[in-house]
Amino acid sequence: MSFSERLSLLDLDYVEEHTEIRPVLDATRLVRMVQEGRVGGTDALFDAYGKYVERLLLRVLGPDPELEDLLHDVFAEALSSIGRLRDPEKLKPWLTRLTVNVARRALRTRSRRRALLFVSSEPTSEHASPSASPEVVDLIERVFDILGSLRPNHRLAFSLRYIEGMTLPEGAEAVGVSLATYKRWLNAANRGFVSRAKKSDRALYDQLLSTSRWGGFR
Amino acid sequence: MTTRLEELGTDVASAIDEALVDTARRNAVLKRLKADERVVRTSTSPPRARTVSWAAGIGFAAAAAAVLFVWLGSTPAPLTYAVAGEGLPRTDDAPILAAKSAVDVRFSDASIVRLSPGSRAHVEQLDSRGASVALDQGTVAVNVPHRAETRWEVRAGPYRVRVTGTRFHVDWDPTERRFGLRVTEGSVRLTGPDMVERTVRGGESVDRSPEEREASAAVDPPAPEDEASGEGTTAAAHPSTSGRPSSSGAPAPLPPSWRPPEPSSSKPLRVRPPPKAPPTPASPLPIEKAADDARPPAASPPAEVLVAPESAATPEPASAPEPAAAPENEPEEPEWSALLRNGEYEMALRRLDGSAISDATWRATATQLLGLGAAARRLGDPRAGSFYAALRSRFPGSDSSADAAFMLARMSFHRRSYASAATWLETYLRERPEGRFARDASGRLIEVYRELDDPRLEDTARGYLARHPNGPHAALAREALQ
Repeated sequence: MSFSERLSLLDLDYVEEHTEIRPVLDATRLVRMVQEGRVGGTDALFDAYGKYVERLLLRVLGPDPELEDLLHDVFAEALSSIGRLRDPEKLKPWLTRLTVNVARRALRTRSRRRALLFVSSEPTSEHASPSASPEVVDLIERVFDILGSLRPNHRLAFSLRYIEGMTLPEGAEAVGVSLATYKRWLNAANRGFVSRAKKSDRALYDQLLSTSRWGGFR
Repeated sequence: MTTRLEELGTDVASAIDEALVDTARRNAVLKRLKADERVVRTSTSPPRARTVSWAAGIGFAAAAAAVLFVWLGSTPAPLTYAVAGEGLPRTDDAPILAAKSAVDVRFSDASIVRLSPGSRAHVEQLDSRGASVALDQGTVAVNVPHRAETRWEVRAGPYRVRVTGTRFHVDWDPTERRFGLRVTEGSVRLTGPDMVERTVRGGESVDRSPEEREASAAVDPPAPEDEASGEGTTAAAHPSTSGRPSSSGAPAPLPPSWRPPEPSSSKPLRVRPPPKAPPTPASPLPIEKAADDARPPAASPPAEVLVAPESAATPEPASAPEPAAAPENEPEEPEWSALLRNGEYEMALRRLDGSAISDATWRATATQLLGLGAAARRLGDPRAGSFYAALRSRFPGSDSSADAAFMLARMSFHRRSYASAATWLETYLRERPEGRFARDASGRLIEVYRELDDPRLEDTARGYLARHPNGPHAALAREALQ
């Protein structure tokens, strides 16, 4: 019996009293714990999905000065509306949908702000880990620079499909549209991305056209 | 093309995981969530079993009607605020004074602004999502609970602090025009007359005053070796936001976003003059020349593409000692130089024409040369190779110099100049066998040797597998050994 399985046999109250022990709870127990407002519920939910949601936000939005706030928004919304989640097994897709909604809201707000105020984004290096190589930072900057020119919905479709690696049905579910609409957005995003790369980042465009080398684009 | 986009996406995902995922950020969010009693309390009870009955139907209809009524009849109300000691809430912009004791101003969204004794402020604007508070004089401590749609702002003279949910202090002395910001929790966006908008995070502080700006104008850029590390963009490299108490008397070092103040500023500030007659290198080589022709010998230090004049032995000409007080009629700093300091490489590149390019190449720091190279690659500008070559010439032995060798290798490879790519990859691995690109470089060397049908392929593949049995080139290495 694994450590996680042994822990899951313990009474939840015991687990809550020993909050340094972070058991791997199955979704049903986790949802119940949060819905009942038990001590440790927030920790357990955040432990289980905090990193996933952070990554998803980063993959959709790229480096963002308000990422911490947006991550907070996702969990604040999740904690306040988890009572409406009827099927605990759907916890992850439900959180994904919430995350995508928060990201979409941020993209729309930013898009309006940029249009009105000509606000430029901060350099990626402001947010990057000090140990990140300049090449990695450069790649992120170049790709998100192009993604920034796409419409929010198209950008979402692109990021979820190619960066997050979702299948088409998963992507459609995450953004809450039909498969046909999602495909339409994705096609528009593909065209927009390639044509923008052709105009403003010739090196990236050439790499898109070239054969696979060096295991990728770095 | 879809496959290429998928490959690109995979690379970007790995890059994000490497560069941007941040445990400290998650810890901060968890702390906020736990502190936010409102959120925890509203964790609702489990959903009840669905029971359909006529009573429920009527109830639902009534509730829907009520919601519709409320929705039609109202728009979100603007906040109100109350000043401690006053009876009624306010919605106006009358001055708020704290004479001999602190005064709390409580807003209807639970935000609190505390004026320290001797401070004066007024509320400029109120709406449903927040308020704009102007600090006329003194110090305020601000606590704004974070919400999804928060729009809060504190203005102090020409400075603006945009808030989404945080705790911080602002000082403003209108006579001295001294501004101070200390963020305790969360983060804010700060703009001012002599700076680009930037994020200030919890634990960081910013002090701005004419004297400090003047002092910072005289501060030399960091030593080249520091810059040459290639890592200079985190809080540690932003001394002005490194958590220094705002009472510190030391002049703030030059932040990356610093810009010379506008000429209309109350005090004329010194602008650092360009170095006297910077050594002029041979005109920068085009990319092909730089990457292809510069072949470092295998067993000796690599030959430099650009021959540095004697004075280049001093790694950073721009950091030469300066007179204590520069005459005011000295020539102004070139525009591209300010752009470089602010990391706006693409813009700088567009400003660098024939005469400015050699000046820039000799004045830029190692980090700036790397940035220029990256920007040039992005723009398809053939000068990319010359920036990397100049970097290797001016900062030999530094991490950045080795990084430049790797970049030159990449560029050669993409032009299918495999021999040149091999030489630069070997150079990188010789200079930084444990460097940040070492795994990538040795993997790519396998690809290059394969293209060249080089007899060293098998040894290189074996070496790769011994060090990185699960690396991204492991499959290729195994294939090479079959």
